[in-house]
Amino acid sequence: MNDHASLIDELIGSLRCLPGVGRKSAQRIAYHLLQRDRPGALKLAQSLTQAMQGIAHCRRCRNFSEAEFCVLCRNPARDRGLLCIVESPADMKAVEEAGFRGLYFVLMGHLSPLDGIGPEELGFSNLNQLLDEGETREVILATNSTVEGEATAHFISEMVRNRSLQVTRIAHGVPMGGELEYVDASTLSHALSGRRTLR
Amino acid sequence: MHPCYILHQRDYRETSKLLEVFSSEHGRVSLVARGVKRKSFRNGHLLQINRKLDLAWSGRGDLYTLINLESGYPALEIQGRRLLSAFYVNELLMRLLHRHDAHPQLFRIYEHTLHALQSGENEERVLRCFEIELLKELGYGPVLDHAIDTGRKVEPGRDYHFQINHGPMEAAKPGKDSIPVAGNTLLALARGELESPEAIRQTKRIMRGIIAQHLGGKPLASRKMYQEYLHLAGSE
Ligand SMILES: [Zn+2]
Repeated sequence: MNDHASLIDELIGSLRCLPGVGRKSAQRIAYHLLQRDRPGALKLAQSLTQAMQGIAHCRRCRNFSEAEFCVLCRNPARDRGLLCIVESPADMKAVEEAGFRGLYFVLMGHLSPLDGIGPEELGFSNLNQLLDEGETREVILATNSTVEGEATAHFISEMVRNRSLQVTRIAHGVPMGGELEYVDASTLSHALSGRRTLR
Repeated sequence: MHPCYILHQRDYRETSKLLEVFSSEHGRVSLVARGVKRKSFRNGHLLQINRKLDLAWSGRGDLYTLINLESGYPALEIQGRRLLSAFYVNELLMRLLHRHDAHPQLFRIYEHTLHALQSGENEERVLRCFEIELLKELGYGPVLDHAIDTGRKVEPGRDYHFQINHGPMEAAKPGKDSIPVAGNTLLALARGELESPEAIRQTKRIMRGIIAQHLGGKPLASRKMYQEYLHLAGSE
């Protein structure tokens, strides 16, 4: 057995978990790191280990966080009366760039029964707990403008129906079928200012 | 290009999607849609479930590659709770259709069902009518016109006991699960014209029993979600 070859093969195999990296690119990256940048590669290995072990989800908003509560949820300058519900951390970042200054709840997906993703997987019980805290005045449903995103928004609006909250849905402005992370900030800003009441 | 509806889709890798489509000419087909989530990909946003599209694909085996898409049809806007019913209809097709079995008639029924869900027709009736048409189309349609124990024609004024695997009976069979059903309901179901709330309710139990027989023990995820919806929406 050739240990050298098997370690390289393993590295190439592992690199393929990176998005957009196929067998060829993985090979190229592996040889580059071994030949030219061992310190950088060791630092990457360390950061990956630390991040994968140290980053979990914020107990309040479900976004990635290394502390029990994320930086945003702990920030006293945010408007705690506004809660914006988004599908993913990338969507949250997009809304943040559009100038939103409230708090978030990150679903980490949308309703998709055939993939086994229902209310439990999307943390609806955490959302109810968060709303039980009583700080929220308005829930802004900023799920994607897709059929699954609409169904998710409708489900949540029904779930919080009997709370004394305003429930709004971001306006169209985001193209139908568009996913927030790919929409430019000004479009998203229009969508936020034109949000409508669902009840 | 083939007229199609997407029954289900999910993200695949970074920029692609896996699609389960129902095509009028080719039945259920699985497609990989490469690069459609890229900003530079035109029309990627059209790939939505419950939306009629013209799709073209190539390849062999069970998974084809999408090569072209166009939308020459108006988009459906199914709203609110009815979206959950659309998930249910889609799941039934996903679970009960075999790949590449063409069902042009069922395609028309499916299309009609989506439009009925959009237009605000009685949701329960729309779903029950879809179920019976689906079962008939797949060759699982139950006996509705005569009692299987006596062979006599079903009479409107009479009550029957429906045995899931067999059909309506005049006499209750002891020790066997059967569903009470009015002759009127059976005749309405045979005509595909469910009107009374009672007929719709009785049909629901019969359809549920027959469909369960063909699902191989695995429950429908969309039904579970609908029940969670009713529970969450009703509580607090
Ligand atoms: Zn947080």
